[in-house]
Amino acid sequence: MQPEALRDFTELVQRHADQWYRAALRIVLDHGSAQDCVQDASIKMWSNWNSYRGDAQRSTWAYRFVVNEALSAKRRSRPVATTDRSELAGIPDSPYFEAEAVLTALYAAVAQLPEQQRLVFQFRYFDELPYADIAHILGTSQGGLKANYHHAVAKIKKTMVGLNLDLHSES
Amino acid sequence: MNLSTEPHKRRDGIHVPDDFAAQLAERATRAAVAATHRRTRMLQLTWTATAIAAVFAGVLLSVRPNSAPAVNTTMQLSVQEAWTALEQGEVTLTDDELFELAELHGINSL
Repeated sequence: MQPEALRDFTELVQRHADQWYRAALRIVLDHGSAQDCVQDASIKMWSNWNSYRGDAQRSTWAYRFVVNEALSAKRRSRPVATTDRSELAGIPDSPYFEAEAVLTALYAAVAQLPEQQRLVFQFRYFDELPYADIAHILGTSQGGLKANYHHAVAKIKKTMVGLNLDLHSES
Repeated sequence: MNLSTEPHKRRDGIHVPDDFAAQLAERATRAAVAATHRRTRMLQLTWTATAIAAVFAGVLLSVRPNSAPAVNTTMQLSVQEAWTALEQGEVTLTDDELFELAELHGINSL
């Protein structure tokens, strides 16, 4: 690899490691697994560095590796028994998660969503990513994403009735 | 409180300290570069091993003795087979050979 490529890669990782960790954590819900996801995704990014075609921003291209890695890790991991830990369902297990009551309720509501709606909501609401970027990350159409997002917001609002959480809704 | 206006306050409630993010970035970068080096090294070793194996196989093939089964060019017939062949008219013997063969078979008259 060229030294310029390594420099660009290093800069990308330094600039986005925080965001990648948060995205991975929201999917795998475990501090250690989220770090592993960032590391494994970085390995894949670097080994595929030259395959970047420029059809999205480099950061969006990279984000996709992290999301795919986290989704794979989540599918590999054993599901947590929900009978005795239902109150913890969907809550990130990390020293950096500020478990306020409203956020905890929000995460629990998000956990009830189907995977596609959950992901779209997280990228749109938490990361404030444009639909075009989300479409690239998930490999789907923007129209479908918008529909998924609105379904997700409606369900979350219904679940969180009585809590004063400002979920922005857009058309 | 508007979370999105503060740089370290995130809507998702995950507030990653700068030093942790820096360490994570460094670990990830190092792992990625090391993995690439390992892969390159493995490829080099594989190609080297393949090349050595090919040369060794070539040398081995060129110096080994011919392992094909030797073809026996001399044919040995038993007396009985020779007599049967004679009876069926497939061979022609001289008188001496005929008498010799008859003697071997204990035949006194032809």
